[in-house]
Amino acid sequence: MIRETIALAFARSFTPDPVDRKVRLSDRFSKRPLIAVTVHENALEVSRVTFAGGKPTFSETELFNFGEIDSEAAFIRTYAAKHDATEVAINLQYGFTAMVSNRVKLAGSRAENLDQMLYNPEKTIGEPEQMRLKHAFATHPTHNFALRFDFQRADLDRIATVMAKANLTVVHFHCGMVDLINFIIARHWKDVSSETAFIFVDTRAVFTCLLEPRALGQPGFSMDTAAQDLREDVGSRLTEILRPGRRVILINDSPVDVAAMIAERETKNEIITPLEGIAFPELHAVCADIPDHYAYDLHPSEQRAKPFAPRSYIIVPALFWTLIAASGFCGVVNSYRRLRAESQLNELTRQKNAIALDMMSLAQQTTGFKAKEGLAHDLRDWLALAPPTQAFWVKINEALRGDLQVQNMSIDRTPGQPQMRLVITVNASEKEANNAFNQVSAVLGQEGYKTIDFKTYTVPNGYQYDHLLNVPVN
Amino acid sequence: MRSFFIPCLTLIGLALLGVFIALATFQKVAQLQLDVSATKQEVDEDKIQKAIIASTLSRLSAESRPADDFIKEWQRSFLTEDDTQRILPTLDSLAVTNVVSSSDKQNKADPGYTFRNKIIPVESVKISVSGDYYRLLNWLGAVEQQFPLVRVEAVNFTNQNGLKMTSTFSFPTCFKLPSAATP
Repeated sequence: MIRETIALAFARSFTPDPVDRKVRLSDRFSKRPLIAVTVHENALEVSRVTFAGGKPTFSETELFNFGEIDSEAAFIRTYAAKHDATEVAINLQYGFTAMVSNRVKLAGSRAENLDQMLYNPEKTIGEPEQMRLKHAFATHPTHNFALRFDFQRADLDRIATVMAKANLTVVHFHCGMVDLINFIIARHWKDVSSETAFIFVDTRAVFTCLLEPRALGQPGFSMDTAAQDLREDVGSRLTEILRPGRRVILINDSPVDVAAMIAERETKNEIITPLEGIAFPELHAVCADIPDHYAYDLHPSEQRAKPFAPRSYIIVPALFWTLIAASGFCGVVNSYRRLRAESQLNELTRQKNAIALDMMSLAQQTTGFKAKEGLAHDLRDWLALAPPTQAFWVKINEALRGDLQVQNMSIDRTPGQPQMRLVITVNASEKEANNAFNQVSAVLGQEGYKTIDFKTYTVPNGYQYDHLLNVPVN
Repeated sequence: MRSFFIPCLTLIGLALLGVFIALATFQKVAQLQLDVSATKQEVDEDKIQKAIIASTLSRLSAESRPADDFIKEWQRSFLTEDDTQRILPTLDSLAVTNVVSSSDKQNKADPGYTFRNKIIPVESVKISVSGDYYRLLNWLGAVEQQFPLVRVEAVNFTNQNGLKMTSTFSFPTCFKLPSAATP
C-alpha cells in the first residue's frame, strides 16, 4: 500500500502497466521503448516501434533466419539492448488454421472480451476449447460471423520461451493476418460492397477472403512461400477469388505487381488499396491495436497487470502537492518570521537586562546618596554632642581664680546624650566657695549650658559644686 | 479503482497533516510575536522608569553636594579598624610632646555605644596623665586636635601627690564613606 501511495503521489499510478492489454499499445508505450518481432516459420524480423499521435512507425527491419538453437534469442536480446527495450510486441505470421464460424459471441467491451478469452473462452468460441489451441477472431461488424484462427499452444509457448530467453516481456502477442482483417473491418468497412475480395500479399504470404455485408467467406492462404513461387501462388489465389466485377481490397507488401496481375485477367475488378504507402501493413495493424470492441492476445500464460488509477484521480496528487507546497511555503515564511521574532526577542531581552543593570546601578547610587545624607546627619549630630573640652576647662579655670584650693574637679558626660555633670570640690571658706561657684555658673550660662539640676554640698575641709547641665547643641 | 482508495485517503491525510502543522507553527509564531510585543512594551516602560530614576538621581546628586562637601571636610578624621590600634601610641606621643606622663591606659571596643537611640561602635579609651595643669590642658587640646571626632566622656582632675587628670574618650569607628556614593 505504501508503494501504491508513493506511486500515486508521483503520478506514476496513471501510467498503465506495460502488460495491461486492456489499454491500447500506443497508450502503454507512448513514452517507453518497444520492439516488434514478426515471427515467420523459419525467420524473424525485428524493428523498433515508436508511436506518434497514436499511430505506429517502424525503424528499418532486421531479418534473422533461424539457425542454431537459441541464436534467435541472442539476436533479439542484442537488438533490444541496442534500443534500451525490455518489452516486445509479437506479430505472428505462421502456424494457424482459419475457418468461418457462426458461433462466436463477443462480450460488451474490450476488457470483458480479454477476460472472457482468458478465463472462459468457451463462452466466446461457442464450443468447448481444445487445450492445445488458442484462438483469435476477425468478426463481422453486423452479423454473427467470424473468421476463427486457431494457433497451436506449443508454437506460442516456444515463441514465449524465446522472448523470455531474450529477457523481454511480451506485451502484445497478435497475429498480423487477424489484425489486418480487423483493421479493414474497423476502418474500411464502408468500402465493402455486396461481394468484396480481400487480398493481402507480402514477401512470404498470400491471404484471401471474401467480405460481404451479411457474411464472411472462407479464407484461403499460403504462408512462408518462397520468393520465386510467390507470383505463381498469387496467381492461383486470384483465380480462386476473382469474379467479374467483384470489388477488390488489395494490400500488397510484396515486389509482385498484384494490381497488374488483376488487370491482366480482364475481369474488370475495382481495386481499393487502403494501406497504400504504409510499410509493413500487417505489423502496422498489429501495433495500431485499434479495435474498440474486440481484443485478444495469444500469450500462452496469464500476465497479471498492476491496476492504474483513472485520470480523474489526478486531482488527488495535484491537491496533495498543492497543499504540501502551500504548507512548505507557510513553513518557510513561518521559519523566517520565527527567526525574526526570536532575534527581536533576544535583542529586547538584552536591552531589558541592560536597563535592569542600569537601574540597579542607579538604585545603588541612590542608596549611596541617601547613605551619605545619613552619614552627614549622624556626623553633625555627633559633632554637636562632642564639642572640644579644652576651652571649657580654660574658662572654668578662669572662673575659679582666687585663694581657694581645688581638691577635685571633673566632668562626666552622659554617654550619647547632650548632658554633662560638672563636679568641683574646693577647700575654701563658704563665701569664697560660693563666689567661685557663682562665677562658674555664670560662665556656664554665658556658654549656653542649661541647668537641669544644681546642688552644693559641704564636704570635709570645703564645699562641693555639683551641676547637671544640658550641653548647648548648635 | 478501489485499490487506490486508501492511497488517496493517505495522501489527502498527509496533506492535511502538513496543513495542520503549518497552522500550528503559524500559531506558535503568532504567540512569539505577542511575546515580542509584550517585551517591547516592558522595555519601553523600563526606559521610562530608568529616565525617572536617573532624573531623581541627578536631583539627589545636586542636593547631596553640601553633605558631600561636609563629609569631605571630616573624611580625614574618620577612623578605621586599623587606626584604633594607633590611638594609645598617639596619646603617649602627645604626652611626651606636651611634657606630661601617662599611665593607667585602658582601651576597649564598645560596639553597643548608644547615641541618640542609635548604636554606634566606638573605641573607648581611658588614660591618666600627670603634670602641670596647663600642660595637662595642652595635652587635652592636642588630643582633641589630633582626633577631631573624639568625644570626651569624662575628665577628672585630682590633686593628691601632684595633679593627675584621668580622661575617658570615645573614638567613633562607625563613620565610613558609603562605597556606592563615592563620586
